[in-house]
Amino acid sequence: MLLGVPSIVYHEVKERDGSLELYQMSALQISEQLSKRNISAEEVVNYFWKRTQKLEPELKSFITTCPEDALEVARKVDELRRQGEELHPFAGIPVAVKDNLSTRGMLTTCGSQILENYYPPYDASVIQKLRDNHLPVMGKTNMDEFGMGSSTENSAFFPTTNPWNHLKVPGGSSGGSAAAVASRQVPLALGSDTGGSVRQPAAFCGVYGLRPTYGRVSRYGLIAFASSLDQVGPITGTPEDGEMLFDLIAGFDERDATSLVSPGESPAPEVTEEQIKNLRVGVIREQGGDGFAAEVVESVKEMASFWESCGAAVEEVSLPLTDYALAAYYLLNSAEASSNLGRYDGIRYGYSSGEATDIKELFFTNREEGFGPEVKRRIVLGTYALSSGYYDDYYLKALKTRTLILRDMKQALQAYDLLLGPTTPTPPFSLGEKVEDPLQMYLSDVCTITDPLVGNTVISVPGGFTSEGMPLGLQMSAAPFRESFLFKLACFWQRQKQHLTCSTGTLRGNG
Amino acid sequence: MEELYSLVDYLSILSRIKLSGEEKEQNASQLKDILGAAQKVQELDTDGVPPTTHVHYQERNREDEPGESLPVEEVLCNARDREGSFIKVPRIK
Repeated sequence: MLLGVPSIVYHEVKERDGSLELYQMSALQISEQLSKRNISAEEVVNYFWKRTQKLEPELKSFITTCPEDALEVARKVDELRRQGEELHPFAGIPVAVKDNLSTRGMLTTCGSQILENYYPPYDASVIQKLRDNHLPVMGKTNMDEFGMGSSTENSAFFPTTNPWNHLKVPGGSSGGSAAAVASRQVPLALGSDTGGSVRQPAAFCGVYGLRPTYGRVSRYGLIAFASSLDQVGPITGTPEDGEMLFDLIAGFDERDATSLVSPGESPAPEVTEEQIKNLRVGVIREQGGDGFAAEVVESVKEMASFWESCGAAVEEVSLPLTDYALAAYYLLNSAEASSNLGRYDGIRYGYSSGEATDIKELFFTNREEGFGPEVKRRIVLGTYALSSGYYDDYYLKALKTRTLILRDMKQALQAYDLLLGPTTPTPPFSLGEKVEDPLQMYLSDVCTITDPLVGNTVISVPGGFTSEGMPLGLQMSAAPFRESFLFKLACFWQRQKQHLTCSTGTLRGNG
Repeated sequence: MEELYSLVDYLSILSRIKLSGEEKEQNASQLKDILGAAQKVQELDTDGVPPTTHVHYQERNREDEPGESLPVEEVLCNARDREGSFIKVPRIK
C-alpha cells in the first residue's frame, strides 16, 4: 500500500443521469431536493443509514445508532410536508451528535465506562432544538472520554479512524462527529469544544468546524468537562451548512446560567469584494515556528496570500503569551474537571461495582473502575492545582494569566478583524503515536486553546492536503459574536479553493 | 520521585479514586512532566492582575417561582439500588 493513499476506497461514484448522489450533496442541496419533493425524508434517512452501516466497520464513528428513531422523525417530516407545513430547511436531514449530549431515554456514555449504562431523563437544549426542527438524529458519536483528548483514542470503547486514512487518528475529542461528516455517514454533526475539540478533528478530517462565542449555545444537558470553556459547535461539509446548523442551535436558554441574553450579530449578508479589501488580517507569529510542520506553515502562507491577493491588509501579529496560554489552559481544564467529575459516585447513576460494603469504599472502587487513565490524570492534576498550598501558585495564577491573555487579545482584535493560523501544528498523526505520552498530546492543542480562554469565536476551514493526501485545517478567529462574519469569509474561501471535504470524492465546493 | 509518589497517593485520596501502585508510579512520573510544563505560568508577573473565571458573564436572576420537575421514576431509573422513591446506599461508617 502506498503511504497516504486512503486504505479503503469506499465505493465507486455512480452518477445517475449526471445527477449527484446524496452523499455528494451538501445538507442545503439535499434540503432543496426535499422541498421540491424529488425525494422523501424517509429515503434520505434510509440512504444515509445504509451508508453509515457500510462505512462503520472501518470508521467506528458511532457508539450508539438509532435508525428507527431517525426514520420515525423522517416519516413525520414527510407527513408534515404533505400537509403543507412550513419546515426548517434542515427538517429531515440526518444529524449525528457527540455522545456527551444528553438524549432522553437514549444511552449517553460520554465515551466513559462510568456512564456505560446511563440513560438521561432529559434532552440537552441543543437536542431539543434538533427535535423541534425535525432533524433525525442518527446516533451518538465516539469521543475521548469526557472530552479529554485530541485523537478519540481515549474513548473507553474503541478508537475511531480517520476517513482519509484508517491508520491515522480523526482528531478529538469530537472525532466520531468529524469522521462521520467527512465520510458522509451523515451530512451534519454536533461536537463540543473545550480547547479545540470541534476544530481539531474538523481539521484532521478535512471539514468545517465552528467554536461559537462562549454563551451563545446552551450548555444545558452537555455533560460538563470544564464549564468555563465548554461550547457546542457544528461540524459540516460546507460553511453554508455550518451557519444554518449554528443558527439552529444558538440562542438564549434560561437553564444555562452562562447563556447570553444578548443575541449578538444577526446573520451577515454575503461578504463583498469591497469588504474584503478593507479586511485587516493578522497572521499569528507564534503559530509557525519550531514544532510546526513545513506543510502546515505553507498552508497558512497560502491563505495569507489569498486574502492579500483579494486586497486585504495582511500583517504578522504577535500573541506572546501563547505558550503560557497552553499551561494555563491545562491547569484550568483539569481544575474544573476535577470539580465537575466529583459527581460520579455510581450511586444515583452510572457504573457501580457490586462489591463494596461501605460507602467510602464504593466511591473509591466505582471511580477507579469507571474512569480511564486520562480522566484520572486530569482529576489528579486538577485536585493538585486546587488543593490548599498549591491553589495560589497554580489555579489562581492560571486565572490571572487568563486575564493577561484576554488583554493581549483585546488589543490584537482592535488592530485586526481576523486572526489567522493553523488549527494544528502537524498533519493528522498515526493511531498509537501519542497516546502513551500525555504531554505530547497536550502540546498538539497549542493553536486551539487561546480562543476558548478569551471567548472568541473561531472556525476551522479546510486548507488543502499534505503530499500524503491528509487534510490540513486553518483557523480564522474573530471577536465574540462574529460567527456569521467567519462563515461568510469561509464561504468566500471555499468557493475560490474548492477543497474536497468528502473523503470519498467529488463533493467540490458548494455546487 | 518518592515525594511525587506520596503526593499522588494523597491526591488519589482527596479525589476518591483508588489507584494501583503501578498507576501511582505512572501518574507521578507524568505529573512531573506536566507540572514542569504548567509551571510556566509562574514566570509571569501577575501582581495586581485580577483573575478571570468566566468570559462574557451576564448577571441575571430569574424569578423564584416553582417550576415543573422531572418525573421521579425517570430520574431514579439509573440508580444502582433503590427502595420506592429512595436511593439505597451501603452502610455509612
